[in-house]
Amino acid sequence: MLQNFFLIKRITVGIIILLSAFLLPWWLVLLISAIGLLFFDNLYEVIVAGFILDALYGEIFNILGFSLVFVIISIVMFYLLGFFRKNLFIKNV
Amino acid sequence: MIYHQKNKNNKSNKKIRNFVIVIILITLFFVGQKFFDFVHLINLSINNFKTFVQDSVSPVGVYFKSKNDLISKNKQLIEDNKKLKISALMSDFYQQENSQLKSIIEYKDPNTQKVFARVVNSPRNSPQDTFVIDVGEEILNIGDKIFHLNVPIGFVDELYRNSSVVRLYSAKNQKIPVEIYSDDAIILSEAIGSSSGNFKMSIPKDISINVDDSVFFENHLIGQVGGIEFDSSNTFQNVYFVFPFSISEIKFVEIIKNN
Repeated sequence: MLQNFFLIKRITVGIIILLSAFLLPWWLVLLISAIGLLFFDNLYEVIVAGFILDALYGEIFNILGFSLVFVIISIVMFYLLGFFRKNLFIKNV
Repeated sequence: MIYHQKNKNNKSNKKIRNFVIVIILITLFFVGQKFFDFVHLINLSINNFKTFVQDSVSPVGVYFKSKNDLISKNKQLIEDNKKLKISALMSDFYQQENSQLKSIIEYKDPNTQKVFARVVNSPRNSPQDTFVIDVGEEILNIGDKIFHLNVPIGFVDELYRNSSVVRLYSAKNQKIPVEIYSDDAIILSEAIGSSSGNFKMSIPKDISINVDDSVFFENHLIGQVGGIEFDSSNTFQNVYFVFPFSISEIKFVEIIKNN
């Protein structure tokens, strides 16, 4: 029962992150992703959201000629916030 | 013993996590362009639904507004209406004058074709001055010019099946040739985009420029000088101007196709 409840929350957060990539400003998507990563382990949807942002804005927004900027940011966030989460002892909500 | 077990679990978890990320990246890189097309297709559907919901819900919000707020809005709208009537009269006059002038020089450009499009993703969602419109590669070409309220604002930069990405002239480091209509002269310069609808120009200090001077790009008014900055260590003055409207409020645009 508890496991099911966790799964529902996990899926909901995943859907929110993916939808926000289409509907919200890019910085808000990164903020929501960061909050999600702090409370959930292995939130792979963040990387997919990075790809979505790159598909919508990436070709234009490039750094040093590299256009998959949001994918890189999301992967860095994934590992960095995963590390913080582990060291701050934040449990899955 | 328990510690070792936990450590082993952590290591295998890390391996699984890295493996999943590599699989996601490889899949997305391999399907690359198709994934981008798919994202734009989904984006169009989601944003169309968002617009539908917003249009349905917004009239409901009016009921919750206070009476005083409505009265003040009404007064403001009456004032705006008066101003608009005056400008509409002026507009008719200018249109007549324009058509007369065009007929005098027999101006006709058969290669231009107008297309209207709705803005799907607002410029405020984008990290740079870009937005997505709901007309795709079947109708548009890369480089087609985008207008809003008869002001040239940008060009088509990327094409997908049913949508396109538009880049504004005010995007970072975008350069356009402009003409500044000052009191006594027309000054030719280059405006550099500095995001959020803003432009910057560097003009020699000895050239006189005033705030509110009109700035033209390809014979269209693109803005008015909003600020001038003098730097004592530099022989140039920095002149700033902005689009005559907020770019985040652009809902529809006009595209001039060049065949």
